[in-house]
Amino acid sequence: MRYCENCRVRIRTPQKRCPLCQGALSGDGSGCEQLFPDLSEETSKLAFWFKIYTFVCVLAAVVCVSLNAALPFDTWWSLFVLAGVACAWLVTVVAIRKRRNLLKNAMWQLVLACIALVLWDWATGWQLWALDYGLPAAVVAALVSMLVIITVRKMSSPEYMIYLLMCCGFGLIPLVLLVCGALKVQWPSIVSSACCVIVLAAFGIFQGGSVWSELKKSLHL
Amino acid sequence: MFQAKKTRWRNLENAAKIFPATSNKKDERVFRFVCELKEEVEPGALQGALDLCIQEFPMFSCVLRKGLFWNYFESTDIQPKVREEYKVPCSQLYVRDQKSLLFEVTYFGKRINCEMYHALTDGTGALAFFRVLVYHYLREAHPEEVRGPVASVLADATAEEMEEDSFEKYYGEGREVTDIPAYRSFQLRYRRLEYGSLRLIQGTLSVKEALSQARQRGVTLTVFLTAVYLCAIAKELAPRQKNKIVSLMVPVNLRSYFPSKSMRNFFWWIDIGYNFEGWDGDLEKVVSFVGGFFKKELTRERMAARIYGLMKFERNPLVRILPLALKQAALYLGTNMKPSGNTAIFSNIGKIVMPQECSPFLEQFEVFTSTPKVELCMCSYGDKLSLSFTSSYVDTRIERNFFRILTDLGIKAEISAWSPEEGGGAE
Repeated sequence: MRYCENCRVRIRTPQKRCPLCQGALSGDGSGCEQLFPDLSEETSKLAFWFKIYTFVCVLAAVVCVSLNAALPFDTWWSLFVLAGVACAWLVTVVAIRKRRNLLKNAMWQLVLACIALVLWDWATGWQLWALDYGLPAAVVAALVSMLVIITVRKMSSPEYMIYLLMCCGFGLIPLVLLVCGALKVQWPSIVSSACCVIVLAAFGIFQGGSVWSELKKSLHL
Repeated sequence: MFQAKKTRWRNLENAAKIFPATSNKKDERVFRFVCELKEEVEPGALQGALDLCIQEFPMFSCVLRKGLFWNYFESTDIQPKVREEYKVPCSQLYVRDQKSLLFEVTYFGKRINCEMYHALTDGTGALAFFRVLVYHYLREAHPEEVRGPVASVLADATAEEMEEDSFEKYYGEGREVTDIPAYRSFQLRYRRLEYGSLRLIQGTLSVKEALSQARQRGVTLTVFLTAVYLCAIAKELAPRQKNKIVSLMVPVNLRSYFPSKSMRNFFWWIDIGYNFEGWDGDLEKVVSFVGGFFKKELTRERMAARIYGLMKFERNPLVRILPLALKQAALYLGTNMKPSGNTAIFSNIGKIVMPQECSPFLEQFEVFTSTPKVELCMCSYGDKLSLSFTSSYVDTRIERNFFRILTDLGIKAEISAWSPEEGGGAE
C-alpha cells in the first residue's frame, strides 16, 4: 500500500497522489484495491438532440424575419412564423419534461393548447373561432388520447384517475361559456361537454370509491 | 380495462417535506450505506436477500407523488432490482414525474451499497433496512455458518409502529424558546467541483485508538471528533476572519430522546458554533466547550423546543392551503437564500452491531451522503471506525487538516478516495 509521509496515512485506493495533500506517495501499489467502478461520463442523447432542435428553431425564426425585412413584402408574415415556432418549441419542451408521465403530459398540453389558441385568435382579430371550435376540439382530443393511453398501458385507478378528473373538469369550461352565451357556434361545445359529463358519470358510478380515494390523496391538507 | 385499485398512501412527515422541495443536481439528498465483505459479492444471493428484505419493510416499496397541497408516498408493486454499481455515488434517485423506487441496492467487488432518498427515511431507518439486507445476504451466501433467526436483526416493532409519524406524536411537547443558538458563520469559499459533482475521502481508524484519545479527555468519541472537525476548519481561517464563528450542523436521532420505533424520518439537528478569536491552536479548549455544549443542548426539552418551530410552520392553516408548487418554492428559497448557514455538517450514525455469527464475513461499514458543503459521516463496526468526508469543493484542506490532527495524536489512518476526475481511481 502507498504511504503519504506528510499526512502519515496509508492510501488504500490506487491513487497517484495523496488525496488529502496532493503530495507524492512512497511505497508501491501492491495491496491497493479498486473500491468503485470506472464511470465514463454519460452523455444524454436526448439533451443533444434537443439542443439541435432549439438551434433549428432559432435559425428558422432569424432567417424568416431577415428575409421579411430585407425583401419588399407588404406584410409582416414572419411574425406568424415566429409565433408558430415559439408554440412548437414550447409544446416540445413540455412533452420532453413531462415524458415520464403521459397523462400529466396530456393535461399540460391541453391547457397550453387552449391558451395558445385563444392568444392566436385574439392576435388575429378575435373572431371567436378559438372558443367556438378550438377549446372543444382540444378537450375531446385530450380526453380521447387519455382513454387510449389508459387502455393501452393497462393503467390502474391510482395512476389515471386524477388526470381524468382534471381533464373532465377542465372540459366543463366550454359548458360555462355556453351557459354565459359567449359563443357564436354552439354544437362543438355541446358535444365536448356531453363527452366530459358522460365520462365523469361513468367513473363516478362504476368506480366511485376510487374517485373518492384519489381525490382524498391528492387534496389532503 | 379501467381497473380500479386500492393503494395505501401516507403523507410525508415533517422533516421529510423539505427534501422534495430542495433536492436538485447540487444536492440530491441521497445517502449511501456500504458494507464491505471479506469476499466478492454474489449478485444472485444479494437479489434473493433484497427480495426477502423488502417483505420486512413494505413501507419502503413506494413512489413519491404530488398532490395539490402536499406530496405523498403511494405504495407500489415495483420490485427492487440489484445491479452492479453503474453511476456516480449519491446521484439522483427521485426523478420528478417518474414512478420509481426511492432506494437502490448495488454492488461492486466486495462492497454492497444501499442508497436512499432522504425523504423516505433517515439514517436510523436506512440502517435498520441495511442490516436486515446484509444479514439475509449472509444467510443466502453462507447458510451453514449464518443460521438465524432473522429476528436477531429485526426491529421489535409492528408494521404500524414502523410507519408511525413520530413528529406528529410528540408535537405537543415543545414550547417556544428564544435561546436556540444561531450563528453568522464562516463560509468556505473554495472553487467548486463541476456542478452536481461530489468528492469522497474516507478514512478508516481503529475504534480503540480513537476512543482512548477521547477517554483521556474525559469525553465521548463524538465530542472529541466534533472538536477535531471544528479545529480542522479553524486552521483555514485567515487572520482577518478570526472573529467569525465556525459552526457545524449535527443531525440528532430523536429516537434517543422520544421513544419511537418509526422507520420514517425522525431526526433534527443542533448547530454548534465556536468563536476562534484569540485561539492558540489548543484542541483541549475546544473539546471542553463541545462537551459542555452537547451536555446542555442534547436533552429532551431542548430538542422539543427546536422541533416546535417548524411544526408550527407546517401546521399554519395559511401554509397548508398554499398549492404545493408555491410551498416548495418558499421552502427552496427559505433553505437556500439564508444568509448564514453552517460552515459544515457532521452526521454520526454510531456503532453498527451485527450478530456474532456474521463477523467472519464482514470487513467494515461506511456511510456518506450528497452535500452542498463539506459533510463528515461516521459509523463504526467492530474495531473499524469509518470517517467519510463528502465535499462539493475542489480543495481538500479541511479533510487534510482533520486527518493530520488525528495522525499527529498517534492514531493510524487508512485513506480511500473517489473523485469525479479520477473515477474509480484506476491507474
